[in-house]
Amino acid sequence: MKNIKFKLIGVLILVALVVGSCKKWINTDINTSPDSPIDVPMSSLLPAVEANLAYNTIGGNDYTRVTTQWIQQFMGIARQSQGESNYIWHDGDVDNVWNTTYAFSMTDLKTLISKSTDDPTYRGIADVLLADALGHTTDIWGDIPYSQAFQGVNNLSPSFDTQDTVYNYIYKLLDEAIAKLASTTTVVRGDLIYNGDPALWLKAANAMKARYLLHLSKQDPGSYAKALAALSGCLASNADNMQLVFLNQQGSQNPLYQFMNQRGDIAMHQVFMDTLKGRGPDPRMYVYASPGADTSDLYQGAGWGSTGENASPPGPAVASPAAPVYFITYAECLFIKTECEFATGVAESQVKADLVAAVGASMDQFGVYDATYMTFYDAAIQQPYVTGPVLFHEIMMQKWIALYNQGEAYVDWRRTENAIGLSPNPNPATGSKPGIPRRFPYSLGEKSYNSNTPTDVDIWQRVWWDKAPK
Amino acid sequence: MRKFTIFLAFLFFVGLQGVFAQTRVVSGTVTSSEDKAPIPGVTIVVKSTTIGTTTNVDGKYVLSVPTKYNILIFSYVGMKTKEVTLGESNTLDVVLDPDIMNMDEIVVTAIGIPRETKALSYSVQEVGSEDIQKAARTDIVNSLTGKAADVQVISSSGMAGGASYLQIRGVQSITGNNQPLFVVDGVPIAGSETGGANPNVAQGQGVDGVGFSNRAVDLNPDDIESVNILKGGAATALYGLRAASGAVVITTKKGKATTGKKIAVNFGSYVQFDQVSRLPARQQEFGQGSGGNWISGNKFSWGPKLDTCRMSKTNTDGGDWANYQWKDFDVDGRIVGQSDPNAQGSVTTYDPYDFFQTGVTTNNTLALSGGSDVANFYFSFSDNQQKGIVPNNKFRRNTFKLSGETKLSDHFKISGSANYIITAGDRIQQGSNTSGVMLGLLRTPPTFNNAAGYQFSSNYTLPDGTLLSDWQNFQLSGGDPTATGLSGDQRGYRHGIYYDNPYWTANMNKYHDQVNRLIGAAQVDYYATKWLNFTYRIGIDWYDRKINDDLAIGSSTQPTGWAKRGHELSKIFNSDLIMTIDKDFAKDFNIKFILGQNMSENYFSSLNAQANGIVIPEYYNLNNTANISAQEQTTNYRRAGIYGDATLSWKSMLYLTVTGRNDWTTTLAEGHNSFFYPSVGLGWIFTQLPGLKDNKVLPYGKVRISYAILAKDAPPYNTKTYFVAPGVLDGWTTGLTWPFEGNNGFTLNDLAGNEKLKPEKTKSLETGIDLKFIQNRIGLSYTFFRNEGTDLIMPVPIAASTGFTSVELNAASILTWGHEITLDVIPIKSKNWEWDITVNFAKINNKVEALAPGINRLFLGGFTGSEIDAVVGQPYRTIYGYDWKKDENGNVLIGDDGYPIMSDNESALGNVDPDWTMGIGSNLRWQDLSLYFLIDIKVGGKMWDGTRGALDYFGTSAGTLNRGDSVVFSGIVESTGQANTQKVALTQDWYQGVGSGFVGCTAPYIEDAGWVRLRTLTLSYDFTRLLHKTFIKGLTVYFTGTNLVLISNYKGIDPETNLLGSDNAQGVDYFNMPGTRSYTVGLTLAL
Repeated sequence: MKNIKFKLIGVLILVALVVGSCKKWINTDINTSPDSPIDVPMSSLLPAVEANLAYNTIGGNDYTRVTTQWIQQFMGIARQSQGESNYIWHDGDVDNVWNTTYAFSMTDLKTLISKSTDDPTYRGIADVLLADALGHTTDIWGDIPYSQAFQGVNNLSPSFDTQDTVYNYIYKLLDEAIAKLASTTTVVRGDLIYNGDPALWLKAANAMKARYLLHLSKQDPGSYAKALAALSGCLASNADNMQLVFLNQQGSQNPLYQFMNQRGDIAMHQVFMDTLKGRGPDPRMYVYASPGADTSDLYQGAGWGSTGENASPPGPAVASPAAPVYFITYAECLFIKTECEFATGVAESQVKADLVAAVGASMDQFGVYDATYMTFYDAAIQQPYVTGPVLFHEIMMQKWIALYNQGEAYVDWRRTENAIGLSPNPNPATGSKPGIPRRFPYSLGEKSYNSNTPTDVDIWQRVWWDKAPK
Repeated sequence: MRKFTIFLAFLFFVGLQGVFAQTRVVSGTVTSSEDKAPIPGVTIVVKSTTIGTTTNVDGKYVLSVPTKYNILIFSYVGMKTKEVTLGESNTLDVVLDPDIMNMDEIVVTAIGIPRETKALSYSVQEVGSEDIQKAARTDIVNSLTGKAADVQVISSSGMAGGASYLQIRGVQSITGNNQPLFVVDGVPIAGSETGGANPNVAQGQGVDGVGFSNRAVDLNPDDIESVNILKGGAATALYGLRAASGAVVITTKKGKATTGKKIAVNFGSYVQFDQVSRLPARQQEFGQGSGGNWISGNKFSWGPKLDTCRMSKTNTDGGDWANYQWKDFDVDGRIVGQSDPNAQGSVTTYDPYDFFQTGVTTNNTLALSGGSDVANFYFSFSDNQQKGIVPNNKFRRNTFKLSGETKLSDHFKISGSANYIITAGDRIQQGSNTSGVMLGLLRTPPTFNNAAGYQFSSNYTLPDGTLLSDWQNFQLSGGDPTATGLSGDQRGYRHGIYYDNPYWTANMNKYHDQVNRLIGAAQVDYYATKWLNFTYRIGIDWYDRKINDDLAIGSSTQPTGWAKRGHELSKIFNSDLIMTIDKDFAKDFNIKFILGQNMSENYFSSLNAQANGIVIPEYYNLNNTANISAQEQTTNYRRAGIYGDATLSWKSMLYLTVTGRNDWTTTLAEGHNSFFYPSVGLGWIFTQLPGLKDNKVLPYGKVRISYAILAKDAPPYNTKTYFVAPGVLDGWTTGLTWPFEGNNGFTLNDLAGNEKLKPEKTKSLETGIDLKFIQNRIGLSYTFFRNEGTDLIMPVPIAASTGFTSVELNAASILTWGHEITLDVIPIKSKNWEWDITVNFAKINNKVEALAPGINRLFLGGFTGSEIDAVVGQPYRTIYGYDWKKDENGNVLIGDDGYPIMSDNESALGNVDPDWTMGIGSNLRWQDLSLYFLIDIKVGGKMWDGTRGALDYFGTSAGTLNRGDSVVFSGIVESTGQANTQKVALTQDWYQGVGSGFVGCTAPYIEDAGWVRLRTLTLSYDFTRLLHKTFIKGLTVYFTGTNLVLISNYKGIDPETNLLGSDNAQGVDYFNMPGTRSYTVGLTLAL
């Protein structure tokens, strides 16, 4: 009997052990992935956002490669790119750029902003980047979700803010950035653009403010004066350019280089190449384009309907492995200045001097500054007929050339109501409306899962600031 | 530490052994009432104790019985179990009656609890060791084919070590694992493909790379005594959430008390020859080239008709052949027109299928077992070696198993087992992968000789006289795939490395993986009183898997060479504490009550490092590269459960079973992680009614019904949102990788976690009837089941403006219902003749009732344009792709050019799962000669024949022999609304446009994948009777043929295939490895 008692006690101990450990056993703390952090420092968020913005939004193959085809810098010669040049651009085609901008860049920037309450440098950087991301998004899509966005499952259908509201958010962000960045000298880590230097970011914030003020020039003629004012304290040389430099190593290469390397499908547009050639040629032609297959005419563009066998591919300035993606440049600041001066009635001699400086800055940016050429150019625009609309046309032509492979050039084309005088594709895809497209369709994903997404939108409609001329 | 405590408690028990109670010695003889002959091997157990023995060859036994016990239980297979109360006498002779009804048949059910079949309110099917042996398959999963109703087995291919997919009663989960839980001797093990520690995640092998094994392959089929398949909710309710997709309960062989003999030796050996069973039909009439012209190096076989051509070994400019640019590729010469002045002989064609070889498998198992009435042991060693049908495809498995059992006292029994397994595979690149064997092989034009060498010989010397290796030559060429005539370069029909020459793939690209695995279990049984006992069982399944994945410099997928090293570690820990009460509490009432507690933990981790850019050729080491990246992954979760089971029986006629289980899991947030689910079942053996009892026509009849609710937790780590390494990708390029420019980066994951996730739920209803007619000669069993899964977890896409693109939600529901019929007939049973037939029939229907709101379709796997999707309102696994454009009446619309028009939108093109399946197994014995066959029938079920779709495009398929023929496509001309009458030619343009499944319409390449096959044919002779007087206790020699006959309308390889291996997405054939037909000769020997 003693034996039985022992054994029963043993069983009871075992039961107690096993059942008692049950509670500790189910420790839901172990349900946290060891492979992915729940929180990360700002220095890890920032480089990812910058790289993604540069690769997918600012210099991305959906945003920039498509819009620069529409303004005839590039020509799609095969597959989907051919369709893009023929104005085939559907809701499903923009899912990637929409998703990466919202669910990656802007979401992380919101996180960065909430984390940087006590860090003016990070806060200022995040504000500038978010303002630019928002700007790019609203410029191509018009009304977009912002005030109700980024709430996860708490709001599955964020409403769409009108574009003028979004612009107010952009200005607010930039004003805050300017205030924060001016208040600090602390250099932060993880910044691929300016190595965390708040002084340079302050210049970029001012430049951005000028750019986004100018965008409203059709809605508000006062924009020119405001933009001009904002330019004080902006980028002062090409060394200040806000750009992300890529590297010539696997997985770190420029997006257009990767596209040309892995897909091809685009070439220089005949309209753009003819313009460059007709200007001397403009020395930038030799870096904007690479020699084509036709040895008798190495630099030529692909015409409408061409499959571009002999056309020049994009050159090292934009499509080499380490070519930078430009967020905003010194040259653009000078062009903003030139245009605003012109619009606000500053003497044309001053405007012309600024134009020469802007063109020179652009050539310098691409390492092909040519003093001789500039002397000729200066003389050329001093001709008396270069005045009024002719001068304005020349300013915008030069900005179009300078902002090669930048989405901003597409904003200018719409904002100036085609000041550079492009003719649309004479044989666009079946079902196309007349003219060059003026916006992107809303993404298929957003349309499918956010019931607030406007449905009656096509790519020929105008966004709010792109007011149709009377 | 916790485990250590448990272990201490365990030792404490072991220390308690000793002191046996007062005993008396009882002896006697057991005979049969049928022929009065003594029965050897009868099990005799003192009721409510561990004490027992077996009768010797003369039917005699001797047993020490503690004086306080007085009931002995005598049991023997095929005899009715008898309980005898001891009287004064110490001699007890017993006569056993044959049990023709098999009423006392015992099956192993959930948690390893043996139960009488008659007491069950659900269907359980058992596959015995003989059936497993007859199948002669390396993988136990394959042995289950056709052996039970509603158990679907799909081999991914006939490759050595290839995976098999096992599914019981259709699907219960949308994106989770739909394969059953594997349990060996009460211990759950990792059974599915790699990553097995996480059964919630279906780990497919993807559309490219190599085919993996499912980890059930590690079990030695020869060690298995029986496999019980638990199908429905009531059957698996006690296992809880782990067995929501059914359970395969494996019982391994144990040592038996061998009175009068020390050790029993069993030896089994077979050799098996595998051949490719079916291959896609190719054309041999048209040569390489395009537009009817022969073009060297062209990717197509749309060249000239070969009977109008001749060979020429003169250069194109009439010059010396030695100067011919492609002479190393066109080894037989150029193909020229018959009137060409340099024409020589007729054109040589090649059968690329010569590439395949006869596979050889050898399998040897040696088992030693023995024991006494207090202890027994079983030891086995096995060696299985396979050489595949593709050169250098190998698989090898060695298993060591040791198990034993000791009775420490009248009340204690301790048992344990350890199974050590080494499995290694040399696997071959396959599928949608330009290094895949079938891709290169099937696209090769009939005029190109792959076998003339896959690699150019080295003959290149540097100016200083240094002889370069092949690889250095290749490096010098800059790896340019279009570079020609280079030594060391790959010799492929496209003059470069667009696709690997299959011989190159088999010889140069090596994938080797090795698994070391230990499955161990220990169990203590404590018989506290006559009606109460306790069992404590602890088990572990531990394995590590090492992977070496090497691609040679010059391979198409990795032109600069590639080395990958992977290491996976999987651990499953499981413990059960079970209390059983078995008591008659009134005259006709018995209650059996089980209370249990379960704890389990699954841990899986992997570390992978890969590098491209091999520096020293053919030296595969991470140090030999310049560009290394590495990833680590860990998965860990725990579960605990408390369960109870009460079976109340009345007069052996009515059986009511009620179970309940409460589970706790770590994969759900607190507040959602505890859940209870019940089951209730009723069985009524109506033949026990007074009027029906002991009637001759229908001696046994039972109706049963059960209802259960099952739950399944979430995959781990889905309750939180994480920061992840950013994939900066634009859909056009390979994008940016991290670390980027020396920075590590993180982004908030696009998939939002959800702490409100709750368990998936399945409501399972099952009802059926079991009948046995005419002295058990005919058995008929019918089951209907209906499983409704709700709250199924899936990543639901959401608008990106929320900051995420998807979130894990309890969103989907799926309904599965079906009918199962099992028929057993024994037409002949006599001394010399015996014939039995077993038919298993199953028809399953299922329907995806809902996905998430606004989501109509969910991608499960496959390729864009030929996807396997879950579509609302359609069966799970619907093939989705492009059909012809049709009018409202379903007529194909024809364009003005006379060709049909392809639809702009994808639509549902068919269901992968079969309409019904049937297995017909039969055993015919005449004296010692037996013939067994198993016919496997699968009716319905579609497969995407992507291989044919691509080969039509490339012009190598037999289907393109009709090139140039004129046809009238039937349909309505879209512009006129009239029936089409326009004759058009089947041109290369047609086959390279919408007419091929490669770039065009998917629908013509959706094929019926049903079959009728002679799955197994076994002829065996049992020499035991002849050898009666010798030391040999048993000898059987057998011949088995597998897949000897295959009848199928499928146009490609054996339709029992799947590109994605053991994955939820089935029905994808894209350059899959072919299946096999096998011939096996083997013997089993007992000493």
